Amino acid sequence: MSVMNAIAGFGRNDLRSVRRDSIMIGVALGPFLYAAAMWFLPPLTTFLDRQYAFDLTPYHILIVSGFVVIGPVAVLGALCGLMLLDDKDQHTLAALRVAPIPPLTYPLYRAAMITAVTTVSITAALALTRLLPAELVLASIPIAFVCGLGAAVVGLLMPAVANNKVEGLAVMRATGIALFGLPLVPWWLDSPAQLLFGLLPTYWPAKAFWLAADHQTYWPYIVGGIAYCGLVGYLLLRRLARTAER
Amino acid sequence: MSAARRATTSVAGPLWNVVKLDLRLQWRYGFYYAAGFSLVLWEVVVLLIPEGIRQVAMPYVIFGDSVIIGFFFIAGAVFFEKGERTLFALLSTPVRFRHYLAGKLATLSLLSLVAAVVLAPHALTSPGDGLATIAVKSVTLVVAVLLCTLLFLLCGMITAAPFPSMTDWMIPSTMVIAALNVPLLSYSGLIDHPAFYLLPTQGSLLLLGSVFDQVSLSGWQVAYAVSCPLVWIAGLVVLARRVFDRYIVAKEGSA
Repeated sequence: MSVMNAIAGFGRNDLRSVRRDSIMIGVALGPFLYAAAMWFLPPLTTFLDRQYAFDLTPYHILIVSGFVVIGPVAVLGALCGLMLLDDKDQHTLAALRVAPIPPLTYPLYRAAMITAVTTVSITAALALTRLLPAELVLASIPIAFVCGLGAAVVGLLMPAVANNKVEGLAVMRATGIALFGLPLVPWWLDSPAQLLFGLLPTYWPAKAFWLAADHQTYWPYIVGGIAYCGLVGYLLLRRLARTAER
Repeated sequence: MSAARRATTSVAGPLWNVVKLDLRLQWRYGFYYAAGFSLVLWEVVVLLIPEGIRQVAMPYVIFGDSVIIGFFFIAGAVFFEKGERTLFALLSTPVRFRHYLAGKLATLSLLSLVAAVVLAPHALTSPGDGLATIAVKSVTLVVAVLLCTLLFLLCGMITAAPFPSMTDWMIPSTMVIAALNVPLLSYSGLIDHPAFYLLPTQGSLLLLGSVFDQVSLSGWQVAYAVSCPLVWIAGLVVLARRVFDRYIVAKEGSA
């Protein structure tokens, strides 16, 4: 019961700061921004075809997976990481040690929140791209959820590795291309070795999305993604709870 | 003579100290590890790009990544120094705002320049390029990267100042990047309109295109590509000063 009260309290507090800050406006705008970038895809395809006789159509799914499926993971995950680093800077985590709640509650709440926001944001963005059939958007809901877990992992990784927000930026820079660029490489690979990319949380949703777009079985990658992000997320949470004691 | 000497030391002394301080802090924050790590990954990506289209891709790689490195770092440093109040301590020393700004711009644009100079050689030369051509291309690359990086750094700093914390600035910052990326529409040939020439980053993008033999520039275009960003940079420096006084110095006075 006290945990539920605590979560409700965190939520109320967030809503209060949301009204003050511009962050929620940004989060609400996010899907439109990701989707709007994709509105240039059809004219770009026509342009490339006319200018260079190059057909971009087979790569549409790859481009959408990069910018709309896994791109937001890096951005929203970094946002979550910065919020936790904010709390770390202000010793919120240490202060919460004296509250009658388990030490994991607060970071867990942040992780759950970013998972939910990312899931909704990506699903909305996919629908708004106007490039995908309705059934693919529907099939993408679990994929968006894996993305959400990935964002939580990124968000928890930042305060686990960095001591302050500036170091957090350095982590963001280093992980950015690894999260956003590398998972797209297996698009061209057709070997079991590509599972090595599974070390990157964004590999799982990207691969699942390609399979879903191709009407193939994609649930093993959903399960894999949930299991992997869940495990890494849990380990990071524990580390975070430990370091908060200091 | 001695007055002149005093004048130069009073400018160069604090500036050199600020540069040393910035280098030390950036090292400690892990900026160089982060930049180095992502540079290695980009190096791999560039080598994976087939040789035929490497020259096509290179302006996008440098414009889309190398010149942005410092954008978040400069804002982060400002937020951090504001939060820890080291900024106010610093400004009560002989360090002036111009030293502070110049130090940050110098150290962080160096980071972008190194990244671009490491990536560019894979696509810099076309068959039949003489030594003179390569020299011209190299100089153009350095000029283009520096101008473009300074624009990104100044925009990062100016837009960060009014926000109370970095978290609040994160989402608006992506819109700043999107706005600075608008000239890509014109450069790629997707949409073209003379109005693009009013944008700050259009010139640098044209210069980058010429470095990698994607566009050939006429005399007036070269003059434009160098002078337009310079005018923007001058304007942004003045704006940075205003914003800094209004949102940082004045805030401290009232706190």
